[in-house]
Amino acid sequence: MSAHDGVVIEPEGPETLGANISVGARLWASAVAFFFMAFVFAFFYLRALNTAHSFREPHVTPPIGWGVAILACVLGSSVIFTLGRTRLGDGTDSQWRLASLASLVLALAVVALQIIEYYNLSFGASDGGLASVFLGFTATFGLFWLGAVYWIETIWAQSLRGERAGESDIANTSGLLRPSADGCVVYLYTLGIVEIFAFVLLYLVK
Amino acid sequence: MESAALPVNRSKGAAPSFLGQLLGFNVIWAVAFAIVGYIVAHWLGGKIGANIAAEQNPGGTDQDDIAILLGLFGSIIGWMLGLGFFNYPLKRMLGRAPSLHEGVDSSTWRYFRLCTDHKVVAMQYLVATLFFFFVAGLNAMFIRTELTSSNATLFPAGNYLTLVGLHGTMMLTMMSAGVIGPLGNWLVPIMIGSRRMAFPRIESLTMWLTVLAGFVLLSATLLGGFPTGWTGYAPLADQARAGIDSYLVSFLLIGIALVLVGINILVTVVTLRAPGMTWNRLPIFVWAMVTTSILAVLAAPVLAAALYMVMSDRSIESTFFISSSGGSPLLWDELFWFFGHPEVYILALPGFGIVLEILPVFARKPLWGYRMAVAGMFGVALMSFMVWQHHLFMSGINANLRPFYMFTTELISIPTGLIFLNGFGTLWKAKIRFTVPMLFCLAFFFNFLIGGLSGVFLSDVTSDVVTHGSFFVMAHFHYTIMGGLVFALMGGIYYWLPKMTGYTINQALGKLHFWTMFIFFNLTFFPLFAAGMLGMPRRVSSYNASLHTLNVFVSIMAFCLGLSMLIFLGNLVWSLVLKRERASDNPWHSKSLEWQIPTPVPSYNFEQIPTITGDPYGYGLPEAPVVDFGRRGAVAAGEAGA
Repeated sequence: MSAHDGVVIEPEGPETLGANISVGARLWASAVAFFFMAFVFAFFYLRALNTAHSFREPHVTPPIGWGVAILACVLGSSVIFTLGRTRLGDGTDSQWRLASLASLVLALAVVALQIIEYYNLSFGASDGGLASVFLGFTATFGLFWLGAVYWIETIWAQSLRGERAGESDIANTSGLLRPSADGCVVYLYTLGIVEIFAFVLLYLVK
Repeated sequence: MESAALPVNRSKGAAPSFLGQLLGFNVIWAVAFAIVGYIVAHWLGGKIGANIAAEQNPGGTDQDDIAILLGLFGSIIGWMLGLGFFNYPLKRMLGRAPSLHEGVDSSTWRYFRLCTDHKVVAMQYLVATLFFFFVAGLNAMFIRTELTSSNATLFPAGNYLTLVGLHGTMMLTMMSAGVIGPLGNWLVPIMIGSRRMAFPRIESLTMWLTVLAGFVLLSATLLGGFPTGWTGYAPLADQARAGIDSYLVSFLLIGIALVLVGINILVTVVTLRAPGMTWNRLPIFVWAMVTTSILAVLAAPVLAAALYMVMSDRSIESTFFISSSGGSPLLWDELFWFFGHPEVYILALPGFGIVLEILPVFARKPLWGYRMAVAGMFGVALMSFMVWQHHLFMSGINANLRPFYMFTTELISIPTGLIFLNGFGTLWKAKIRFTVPMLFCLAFFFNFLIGGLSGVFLSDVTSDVVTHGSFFVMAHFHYTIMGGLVFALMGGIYYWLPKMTGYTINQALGKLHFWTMFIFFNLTFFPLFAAGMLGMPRRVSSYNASLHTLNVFVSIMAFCLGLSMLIFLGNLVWSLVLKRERASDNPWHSKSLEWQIPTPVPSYNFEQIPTITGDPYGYGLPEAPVVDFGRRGAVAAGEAGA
C-alpha cells in the first residue's frame, strides 16, 4: 500500500483550483447538453413516427403562459448573475451581493413555477408521446436547475460569510469566487439554451 | 499547470481513535442508512403511488414501481449520507470556504469510507471491481452449467434470462470502471506529475456509487429478476417484473459515475500536469484515459436520459416506448446504442492504453508511432459515435440507412488498425522480455485480432442477417472485451500492482495463470463462432440436440477458464498476504514517471512537483534525462534502465 504517514499536503493555489472549476464546469455543461439531446431526439423521433396517431393528443396543450414565465425566470436569473459577476471583486461588493441574491430568488421561482405548472396541466404522462416528452424534459430540467440553485447559493453564501481563518486549507479562498462564478455562468447559460429549446419544441412547435 | 515549488507540510493530522473511526462516517453506517433509506422511501412511494393504480399501466406492470424506485433512490441517499458525502456540500451551502482536506490519514479505516487520496480510492476500486468481476464470472459458470444440457434443467427459462442479464450487465458496468477506476485513478495523477485528482471528493463518490450499483443490480434477484439481458430492450423493460427497476437504477448509478470520473480525469490532465509534461510527452496510457473519458462524458448522459424514460414509463405511466400510445420501442434502441457502442470503446480504449504503455518497457524500444497511436485513439473515439445503428440492422430501420452505417462501422477498423501497427512496430526487431505482463499484452493482440475480424461479419448487413442474435455475436464480443480488455487489464495488474501495493507478484504463478487463461479462453469462445453459424441463439437455454456435444466441450473449457481465474486469485492471496516480498522501486526498469518514485508511494506522491525533461519511451538513449525531482536531482534514462 502507499505510504500514508499522516502528511498534510500544502494547499494548492487558487489559480489551480480555479482552473479545475473552469474546465470542469465546461465539461459538466457538455454532459448536461448531451443529456437533453436525448429528449430532443425523442421529441423529433416520436413526432416523426406518430405511432397510433397518438404523439399529440388533441387535449395535450402545454400552457404557454407558464412556459413563458419559466423561460423568463431562467434567462433572468442567468443574466442577472452574469451582470453581478462583473462586480464580484472579492465578494464584498454590495451590488454583487444584491445581484446574486436576485438571481437566486429568480432561480427558486423557476422551481416554484414548474411545480405550479404541473398542478395546472390538462394532461398526464400517459397521454401520448408529446405528453411523455414534456413531463420528462421539464422534470429532469428541474433537477438540473436545482443544481444551478445550489451553485448560486454556495457562491452567494461564501461571499456573505467572507474568508475566515482556519476554515479552509486553501490559500486565499476569495480568489476562488471568480472562477466558481465563471463556472456557474457557463452552467446557467447551458441550461438557458436547453430551456429555449424546450420552450420552442414543447410549447411552440405544432 | 501546477507550481514546481509546491512544498510538503509535514505537520501530522491527529488520527481519530478506533471508536471515533467506528462512530464516524463509514461503510457500516452507509449500509445501515441505505437500508433505512430504502424502507422510508419505499413507504413514501407506496403512499404516492396509491393514486396511480397498477391496472392503469399501459405496459401491464403489476408492481408498485413508484415505491420500489423511490426505495432504491432512498437507499442511494442513505448510502451517501452514511459515507459522509453530504457534509461538505452542506458546509458549502452555509458559506464555508472550499477545502481539499478530508479523510487523509494512515489508518486502515480510510479504505472503508470517503477518502480523498487517489491511491486509496484506486485500491477501493480494484477490490470492488474484482469482487463483482468474480460474481459475474460465477454467473457465467452457472450459464455454462445449464448449457451442458440441450433442454432447460437447472434453471427455469425466466431465471436463466436473469442469470444472463446479471452476467452481462455486471461485466459491462464493472468493466467500464475496471480500468478507469483502479488504474486510471491510481496512475493518471502520478504519470502527469500531480499529487491528486482535480476533484478528490468526486473521485471517491464515483467509487462508492460503483460499489452501490453492483449491489443494487444484485438486488434484482430479490425482486423477481429481469428478462432483458444487459441491453434492457423495450417494451420488455416496460412490462418486466420489479427486478428491472434494480437494473435501471444500477445502470443509472454507473452512468453518473462514468460521467463524473470522466470529467475528473479530463480536468486533472488539463490542469494538473507538471512543468515539462507537454502534450507530446503525455504517457500513452493517459491518452487512453483522456479518450475514454471523452466518450464517458458524452455518451453516458444519453443513457441516463433513456433510463429515466423507462423509469418514467414504469412509474408515472408515460408512453415513451409504448407504440399503442404514441411512443416507440425503437426509441430505446436508438438511445441505448448511442451510448452502447461508445461503451464498447470505453472498454476497449483503456486496453489499448495499457498494452501500448507496457510494450516498450519489455521490448526496450521507444513506442513506435506515438502520435499515430494518439490519432488512432481519437479516431476510434470520434467514429464510435457514428456507428450505433449497426445494432439496429435487424430491428426494422430504414433500409437506406444501412449502407451508411455499414460503411462507418467498417471504417472504424482503420484507427483500430493503427493501434495494431503501433504494437507491431514497437515489437519489430525488439529484444522482447517475456514477463507475465508482456505475455498478456501479446495475447491481447492475438485475441483482439480475432474479435476485430469477426466484427467485420457483423458490420456487413448481409452477413449480419445470418449471425444476428446468435452465439457468433456472443463469441465476437467476448473476444473483444474479455480477449481484449480483460487480458490487457490482467497485464496491467501484474505490471503495476507491485508499485500500487509495494509487494511483488509471483511470476511463476502468474505464468501459470496466463497460459491457462489464454488456452482455455480460446477453447471456450472460438467454438462458439461455429455454434452461432450453426444457428444457436443467444439467451435461450434450450437448443438443437445436434449442438449438444459442442456445448458440453465449451462448458468444460469454460470451467477450466474459471479455474484459471482462481489461480489468479490464489496468486494475489499468496503474493500479497501469505508470502510477501517487498517490491523494488523500478523492477521493470521502466522510464515512466510512476516508476521513478519510491515504493510504496508516499501519500503526497512527490516531495516536490517534478519537472519532466524527457519523453517516457526514449529507451536506448542512456544519457537522456527523464525527470528532475529538484532536491533528489535528475533521473536519467540510464538509471531507469535504458
